[in-house]
Amino acid sequence: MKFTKINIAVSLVVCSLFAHNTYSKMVEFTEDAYSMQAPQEIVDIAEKAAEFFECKDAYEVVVPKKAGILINPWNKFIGTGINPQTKNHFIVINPEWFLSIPEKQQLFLLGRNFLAIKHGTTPLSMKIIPFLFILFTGCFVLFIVWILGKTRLAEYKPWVKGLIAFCIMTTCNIAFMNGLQSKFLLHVAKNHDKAINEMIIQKTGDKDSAIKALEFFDSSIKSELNNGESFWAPYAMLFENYAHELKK
Amino acid sequence: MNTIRISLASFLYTHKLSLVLGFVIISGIIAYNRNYLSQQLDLYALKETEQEFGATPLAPEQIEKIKLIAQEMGIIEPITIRKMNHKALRTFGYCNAFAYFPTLLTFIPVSNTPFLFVSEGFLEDLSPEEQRFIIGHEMIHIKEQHTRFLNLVIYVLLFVILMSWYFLRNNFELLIQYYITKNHTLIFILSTSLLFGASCIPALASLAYRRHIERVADHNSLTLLKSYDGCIKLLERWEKEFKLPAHNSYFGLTSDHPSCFERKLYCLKLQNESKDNI
Repeated sequence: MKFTKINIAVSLVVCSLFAHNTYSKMVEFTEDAYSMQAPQEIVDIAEKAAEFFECKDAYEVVVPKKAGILINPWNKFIGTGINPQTKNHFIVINPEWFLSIPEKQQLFLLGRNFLAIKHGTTPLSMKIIPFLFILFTGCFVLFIVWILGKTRLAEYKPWVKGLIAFCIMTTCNIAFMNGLQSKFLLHVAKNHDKAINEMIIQKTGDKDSAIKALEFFDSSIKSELNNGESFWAPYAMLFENYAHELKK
Repeated sequence: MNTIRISLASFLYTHKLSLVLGFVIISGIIAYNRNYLSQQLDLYALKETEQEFGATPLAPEQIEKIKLIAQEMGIIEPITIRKMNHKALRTFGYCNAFAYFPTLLTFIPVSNTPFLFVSEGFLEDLSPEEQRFIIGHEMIHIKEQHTRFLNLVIYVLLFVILMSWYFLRNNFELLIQYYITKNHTLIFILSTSLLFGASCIPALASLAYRRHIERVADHNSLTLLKSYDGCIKLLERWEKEFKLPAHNSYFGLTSDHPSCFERKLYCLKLQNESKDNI
């Protein structure tokens, strides 16, 4: 009996050790033309955050080089992506920008990236939308063919009606469907971002730091915009809106 | 429901005079306003291309340097030179350049002025030899108008394939029925697979053509400018710094460029031949 109890206890300890091992694991990044391995100071902060947010995937922490910032301006602040070589997620952190903010705000910003890694950078609904639009296009083409069958073009051969329907649909797609699709995608992405912000606040219980971090991000983006970086134009109000909604 | 029973042929026959008149009038308007239309198309091409790939002009001395190489190769046509934006950098890499012919709706060629886009890394990091090779390579694309009509040809080919399948599908199905199976579901699956297979032909042909023009551009640039060292250095840089694979996957069939290994080998071969000639 005693032996069984000990056995169970040992098994539990071993299981907990395994469970601990399945938690986040920082992987060394091999330097390339765009980025390099982050210094230990930043790695430590990232590891703490990964543990706090229970991120179980392997990840790399990198610091951008000039080429990295040019190729993706988000790397000037903080961003995430997938390393095509190792297939690991990576977090790009610009030390100059990142270390200039208080620890609690750093945790919030890292949380955004770790939760994006955990729950997927693009939500399922965002992946489905393009397919829905393709399906809608197909249905609409069939609908146009059916409508054409009710007009004076009814006696035309099916391929002519099909071609006319295809041309109408292509024009519609170019004229407004593509724009509509982008707006849908943007809307879903914003909702995903908002949900992540809420989850972090639930976990940290610190709303003020979250708002301050978002406002700091917003001010950094606006200063880039003022310097003539047109890349940031679509994101001019993004973080301000997030902060405003959290204040509510 | 009452419908007017007409076919496309009878419509064209009964309305042929009005169609001819319409065609003549539209052609006349286009001919009369050709300069204005051409200017508008040029402006459209400039605006759209700059929005897509970058609008920042280069410093005058950098433009002069590029134009000198172009003149050396006997290219005197006007070229719009711009710096790549973030989007283009993501596609083409930090140390690269590319030639572009503006199109309307991605396949109708507009404007006679081609574009040359260069990256920040091209200007800052590449040695003059590497720059010379890459500019020479892109100038050949511009001179020979390699990709100007490519998309148009692909779309026409795809259209022809789809139409052929539509008109010949009954014959295909009969052939399948005769030689393979009489099962209707299988016939449908095989016929549809044939359509999908045939639809892949333009894309694969375009990739093969792209690999061919890259070889042509490499060959002409190397023989005209003798930039062998620049070529080797640049390809090695791409392999090391940008982790470009030495060999392409799937026997290179799905790649739009020959592999670095193949390009280096060809460059060395040309270099040896030129040494032998001397």
